[in-house]
Amino acid sequence: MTEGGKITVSCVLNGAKTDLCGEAAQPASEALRREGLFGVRETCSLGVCGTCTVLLDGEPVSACILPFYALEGSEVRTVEGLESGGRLSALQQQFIESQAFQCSFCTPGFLLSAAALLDSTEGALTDEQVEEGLQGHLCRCGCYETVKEAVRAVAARRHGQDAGRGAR
Amino acid sequence: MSQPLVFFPTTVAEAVEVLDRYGGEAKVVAGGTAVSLMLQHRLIQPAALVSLQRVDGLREVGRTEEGTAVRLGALVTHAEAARHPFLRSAAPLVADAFAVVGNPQVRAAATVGGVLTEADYASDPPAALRAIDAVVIAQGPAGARIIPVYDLLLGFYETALADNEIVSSVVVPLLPEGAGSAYLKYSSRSSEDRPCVGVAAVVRQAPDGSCAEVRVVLGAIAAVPVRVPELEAAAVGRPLDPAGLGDAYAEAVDPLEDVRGSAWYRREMVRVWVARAVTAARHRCTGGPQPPPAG
Ligand SMILES: Cc1cc2nc3c(=O)[nH]c(=O)nc-3n(C[C@H](O)[C@H](O)[C@H](O)COP(=O)(O)OP(=O)(O)OC[C@H]3O[C@@H](n4cnc5c(N)ncnc54)[C@H](O)[C@@H]3O)c2cc1C
Ligand code: FES
Ligand code: FES
Repeated sequence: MTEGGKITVSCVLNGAKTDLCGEAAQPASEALRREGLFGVRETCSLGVCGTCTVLLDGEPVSACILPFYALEGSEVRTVEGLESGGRLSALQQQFIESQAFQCSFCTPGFLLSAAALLDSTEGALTDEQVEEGLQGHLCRCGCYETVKEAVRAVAARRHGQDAGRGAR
Repeated sequence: MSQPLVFFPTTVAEAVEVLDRYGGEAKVVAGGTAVSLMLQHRLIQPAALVSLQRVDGLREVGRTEEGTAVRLGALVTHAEAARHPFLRSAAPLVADAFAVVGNPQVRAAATVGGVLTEADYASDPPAALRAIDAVVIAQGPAGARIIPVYDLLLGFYETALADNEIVSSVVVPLLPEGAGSAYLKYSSRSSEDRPCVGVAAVVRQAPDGSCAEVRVVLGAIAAVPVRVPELEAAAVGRPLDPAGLGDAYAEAVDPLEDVRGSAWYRREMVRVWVARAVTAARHRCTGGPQPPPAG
C-alpha cells in the first residue's frame, strides 16, 4: 500500500499500455511531457487556461492540477493520440481548413475538449453548446470564432451523415 | 523538497488508520484540484498523502434507504452531480451549484467531498448544500458521525473534521413538496472564476399565493455561507417580494472585501442576485400558483 516518493503507475496512453514513473507531488502534465508528449503544454499551472488538457477516460481534465498517480488504471489521451495511422482526424483537418489558430499554442487543448464534446453529443451543435464545452480554454490570439466554426462544421457534417444513414 | 509518501487505501477504515497514524501530518487527496495547487505552491508540505482514488463505495449517487434524501459519495465529481437526473429533480439548486464551478476540466476532477472540506469561502456548492440542510457523514477511528454542513464549515479553510476523519458521503434532503429552488452565481472577473457572490434560494408558496417558506443562503461574502433566519421568518405569510428580499438582505449583511469586489459592491450584488435567485426559485415551484406572466 505504501509507496515511496517515486511512484509507478500503469495506464493506457494514446492506445498503448504504458508504465509512467513520477514523484508524488508532481502534476500529471510533467510526467506526460517527460514521455515526450509536448502537446501537453503547461502555461498557467492554475487550472485556468486549458493548454495542459488531456482526456482521462474520455473526459477533459487539466493535467497541471491532476496528481500524477490519478492516471493509474485510466485511459489517457493527449493530442498526439488524436491522429490515427499518420492521418489527422476530421476535427484536426477542419481546424486547419477553418484557420482555427494563429500561434497554435492553445490548439492541443481546444482539440481535445472539442473531441470530447463531439464524442458525447449527437448531430449538429449550437454556438452555446460549443462555448459551454470549450469554456475552459483561453486563446490569447483570439481565435475563438474560427474554433467555434471548425467544431460546428465537423458536427454539422456528422449530422448530415446521420440523417443520410437514417434515410437509407 | 522531500517527497511525501503516498498511500492508496482501498477501504475507508484503512484510510482513517493511516491518517490516525500520521496525526495531522497527512493530507487526504480526492480529485486533487486544490491539493495539487497547495503542493506546487508549497502551501503545505505533508509527510504523507492519502489518496482516496482506490477506496470502494465512495462514487455512488442514490436515494437513501428511507427515501427522503439523496446520498452523494464523497468521490462523486462535480460533473457527475450536475448531470445526475435524480439530483436535478430532487434538489435542483444543488445540481445548479455543481454545474457552475470553474470550468469543465475542473468539474470533471473536483469532488463533492473535496469542495466541502476545502472550506474556501468563495465556493459555490457549500451555499446550496447549506440552504437545503445537507449533512456529511464523517468517518473516524470511533466510527461514523453526522455533521450538518452548517456545523462542518467553521471559518476560512477551517472545518469541524478531526485530522483522522474523512467525509465518506454527503446526504442531501429532498426538497419539500411543491418547493422551487435555484442557485445563482455571479462572477466579476472571468467565466471560470470563483463567485463574487453566490445565492441559493428555496421557495414554497401557500395556496393563496403567499410565501409559505423562503430560505436564502449567501456564499462568498463571508468566511462561511450566510443565512439570516429573522428575514426568512419575516417573509412567511406575506406575498413573495423578490426585490424587497434583495433590499432586506443587502441591509442585513456585512460582506467581506477581496479581489472580486469591495464590500460596497458585494452588498449591491447581494441586492440584485437575491432578487434574481428568489424569482428563479419561484418559477420552479410546482403545484402552487402559477408565476405571473413575464415582464
Ligand atoms: C481553475 C479553478 C477554478 C475554480 N472555480 C471554482 C468555482 O467557481 N467555484 C467553486 O466552488 N470552486 C472552484 N474551484 C475550487 C474547486 O471546487 C476545488 O478545487 C475542488 O472542489 C476541490 O475538490 P477536489 O476533489 O479536487 O479536492 P482535493 O484537492 O483532493 O482536496 C481539497 C481539500 O479537501 C480535503 N479532502 C478532500 N476530500 C476529502 C474527504 N473525502 N474527506 C476529508 N477531506 C477531504 C483535502 O485534504 C484538501 O484539504 C476552482 C478550482 C480551480 C482549480
Ligand atoms: S496550464 Fe493547466 S490549465 Fe493552464
Ligand atoms: S492560437 Fe495563439 S493562443 Fe490560441
